[in-house]
Amino acid sequence: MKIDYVIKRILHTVLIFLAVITLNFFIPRIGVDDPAERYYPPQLGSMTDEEYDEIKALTREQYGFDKSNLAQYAEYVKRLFSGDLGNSFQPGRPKVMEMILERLPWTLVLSVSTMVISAFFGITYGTFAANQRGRLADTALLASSTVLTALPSFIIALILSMVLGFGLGIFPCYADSEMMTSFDWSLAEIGNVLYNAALPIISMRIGGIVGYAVSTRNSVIVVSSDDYILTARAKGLSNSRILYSHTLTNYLLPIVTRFMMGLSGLIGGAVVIEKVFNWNGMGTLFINANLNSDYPLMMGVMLFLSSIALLANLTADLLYFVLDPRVQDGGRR
Amino acid sequence: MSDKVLKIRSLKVIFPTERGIIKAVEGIDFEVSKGECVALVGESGCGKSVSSLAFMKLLTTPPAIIDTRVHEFDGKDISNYTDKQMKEIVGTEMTMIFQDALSALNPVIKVGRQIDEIYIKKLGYSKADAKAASIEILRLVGVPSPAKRYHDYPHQLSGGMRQRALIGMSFASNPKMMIADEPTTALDVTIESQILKLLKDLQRKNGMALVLITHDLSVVKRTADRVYVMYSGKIVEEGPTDQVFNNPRHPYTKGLINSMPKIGKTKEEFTQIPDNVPHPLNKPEGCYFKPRCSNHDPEICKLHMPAFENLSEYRSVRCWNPIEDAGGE
Amino acid sequence: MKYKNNIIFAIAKSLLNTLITLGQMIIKIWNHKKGRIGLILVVMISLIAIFAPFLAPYDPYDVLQRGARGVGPSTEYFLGTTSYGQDIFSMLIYGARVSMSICIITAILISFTGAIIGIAAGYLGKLPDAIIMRVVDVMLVIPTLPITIVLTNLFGKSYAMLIFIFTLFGWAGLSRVVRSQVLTIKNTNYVKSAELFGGGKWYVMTKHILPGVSNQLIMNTAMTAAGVMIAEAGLSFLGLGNTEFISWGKMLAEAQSSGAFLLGYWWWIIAPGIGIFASVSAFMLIGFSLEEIFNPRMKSSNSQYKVLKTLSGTYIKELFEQMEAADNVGGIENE
Repeated sequence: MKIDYVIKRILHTVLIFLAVITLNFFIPRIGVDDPAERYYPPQLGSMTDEEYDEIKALTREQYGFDKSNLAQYAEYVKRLFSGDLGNSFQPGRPKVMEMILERLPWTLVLSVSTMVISAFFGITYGTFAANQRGRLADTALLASSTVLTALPSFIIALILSMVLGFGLGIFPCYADSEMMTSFDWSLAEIGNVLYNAALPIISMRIGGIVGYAVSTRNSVIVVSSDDYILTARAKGLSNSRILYSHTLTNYLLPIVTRFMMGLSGLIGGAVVIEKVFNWNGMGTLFINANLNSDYPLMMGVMLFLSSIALLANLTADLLYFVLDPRVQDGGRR
Repeated sequence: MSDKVLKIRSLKVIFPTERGIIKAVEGIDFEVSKGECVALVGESGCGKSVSSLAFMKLLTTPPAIIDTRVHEFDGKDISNYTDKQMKEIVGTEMTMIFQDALSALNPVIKVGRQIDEIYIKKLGYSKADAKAASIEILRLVGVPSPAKRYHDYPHQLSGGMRQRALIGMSFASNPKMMIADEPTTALDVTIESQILKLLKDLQRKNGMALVLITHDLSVVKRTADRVYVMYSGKIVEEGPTDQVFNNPRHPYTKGLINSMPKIGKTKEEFTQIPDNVPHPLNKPEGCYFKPRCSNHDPEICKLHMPAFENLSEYRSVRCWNPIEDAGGE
Repeated sequence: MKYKNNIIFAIAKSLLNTLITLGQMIIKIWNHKKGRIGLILVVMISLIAIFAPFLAPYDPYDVLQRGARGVGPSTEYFLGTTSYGQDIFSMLIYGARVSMSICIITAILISFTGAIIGIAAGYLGKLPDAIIMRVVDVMLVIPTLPITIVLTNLFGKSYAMLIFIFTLFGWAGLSRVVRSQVLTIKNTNYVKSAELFGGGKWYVMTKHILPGVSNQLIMNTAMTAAGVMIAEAGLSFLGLGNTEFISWGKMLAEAQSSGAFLLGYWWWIIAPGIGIFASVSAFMLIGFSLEEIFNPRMKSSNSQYKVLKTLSGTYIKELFEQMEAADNVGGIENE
């Protein structure tokens, strides 16, 4: 019974993953014979037509676009399972996987730290606001949430970089481009990264903290009106005991899901912020791939992001399974 | 009398809302003695649950605003007790059980652990002792194979078992007073009598005061020694159960009794009280029951709320025009 | 012929019903404080968008002609000019056209498709449900902004294409919510009895299920409009929005790429920022107000607590005294 659920979730994830792979393979092939058709490296401009055709034929062969779609698909799936996302169209045919892995840490610096920061402060403040219901701490939260959720993070980023960056010169407005090449885990370098990451993180997370805080506040209020909290109070338990062992265990469930969902969304959403600060992460990699119509790279990043989302979903489901005994018995959430 | 466990004088509870002030409880007097089972009965929305929460000072303020003249528990004046002081008696000396045991038990904590909490946090037991005691209390309240059930989650138990576990939890500390808010409403009739019997047994054994909050007169008749009838935030009749049932003096009480289903009753004998309880924001002038009352006086009932008059040593009624004494007391 | 008339009649009737519900909804929103602000803002911005040619003092595309480049806010140029010499106030007014129309059209399309697919899945159940829900699962896993970028790269960045792509990847989340609501409604006794009395699928769907989910749908339309506004702005900011018209996101992108910061042209950034902020918050306010109207338990405001603050201690004391006094009117002392 219990293990059934786990197996079912895993099978489900695998099924979705296969569908995503298939979509990833076919999307760049919609409406063209050959995904490389749109890729015109700048140096091709000075070529004659014959030279160009020659190069094109070569690319077709190199990337296997001359084979049938089905054969290509089989090849694609086979390589995927050995961790190979194919080769980029860029000169020198660099491996997509390597390009992604090179940029991934820089994106993770932004997204993971912002996730943790916003979850921590958001949950703490939300719980506090729920207990202060109707007082200043609470009304301030609600008022600021209306404002901040309506302000896209890149506008916050622009304003912050205008005021704190250009205006007051406290933080750099553009990320140090040498930072990523010279990074060597020395304390000074780590400090430099944090200094450069400060504005991106703040602007990505102001809205996030408020979002977490509001949803935490709401679920605390809803959970607090549940009967078992009244029972706990009627047992004369201390307020902190009620909060930690009765309220928290129940309101944490939806928040876990939110956290996992947020993780996948955040990496995708970092694209715009990376552009504001010239941050050399996956977002920038993706945007540049798009400018060059470098489909293998674009679809590689897409697949990578989708896989993170899938894994996050699976983790959330399994965490639910561990945390909520009702799910273990096949009940609905 | 010194054996009064709970003594309340003029309890008032209001809730301010956008549309006006809800007067949920408008000054009720209530008391229960050691070893006594008292029922507080009324239709839903009459303020009985709010009162019971106020008895234990469990209402959250705000939003509620509460005022009492006298609030004594076990001879101590607790009207000015702080939250912290209340925590020392709530859950141990005075406990409470609720209607729907499924929602009243925490869904993600094992039933046994929820009982353990009383022993560990309130009575200072060690973990192992608490477990043994919890299993013992589960056995006492009639849960079969308690050592096994200890490890179950609430949703894995049947409705009756859950209610027993909940009763066990509030009985764990040998309380002086237990309030049971509609303890059997969510249960089948057969289970209902088992649970009521269990409650009565526990009460007799320990000389505990039991306050039964219910809308079900048949439960009252079977269980309670004394009864308070509540209507729209006020007590309208009070007295020993058999006297109230045999000789109701308030037309509302009589209406409630007449609307009780009973074997052998003909259709003509089975009557209803017309209309509904007045909306708490829109209570009528004068006597609140007047619009639904079959023998109201058009003058006086419309103008003033009747006082709560003592009819005899044990009985009181709030009515300008009480039903005639049928005698037989 | 007669049959055809019947169909026309039925369609007219359902249209009329929809209009009535919508009217009632608008009255409800109007009576809600937050909702009213949102409604006024949306109507105002929409009017500005519609009448842009009459309201804008200059041609927003007019570049380099008057030589007034990078001028700060003045009486002549209300919100200043760009470093190319365009009038920002006129750009702001014209930008409202693209930004507002894309998000309103997309939100309505998403609500329709999401509702139809969600209802179909929930009500038909079994195989159709399983298939639809798997498709939804796939759609939800694919990151929205990146896929939009890929598709615009493939199919072009026209205004219509953007609406199409936003809709294509926007319906999935809504249909999941609608489906679960349909399942709840489907298991209620009134639907079961309607089926028992021979109500056909179509009848049950239009009579019971659609009204049941319509609240969620209208609320969702408002929230989606806000979401699309943010997404469109982000996309345009990346230089990947529509290529045809001025939009607020595009203004921001141009500002950033021409170094508005370095030059100190703050008005170039603030103006479109306020445009985006005002319209996003307008839709959100409508959404929040609907949420509070339909689902009072989730009420995020604290009206009860606010009322409490307005009550003075003496007033409450008097109230309690009145209660006690009323008790003793009979002239017989209690105790």
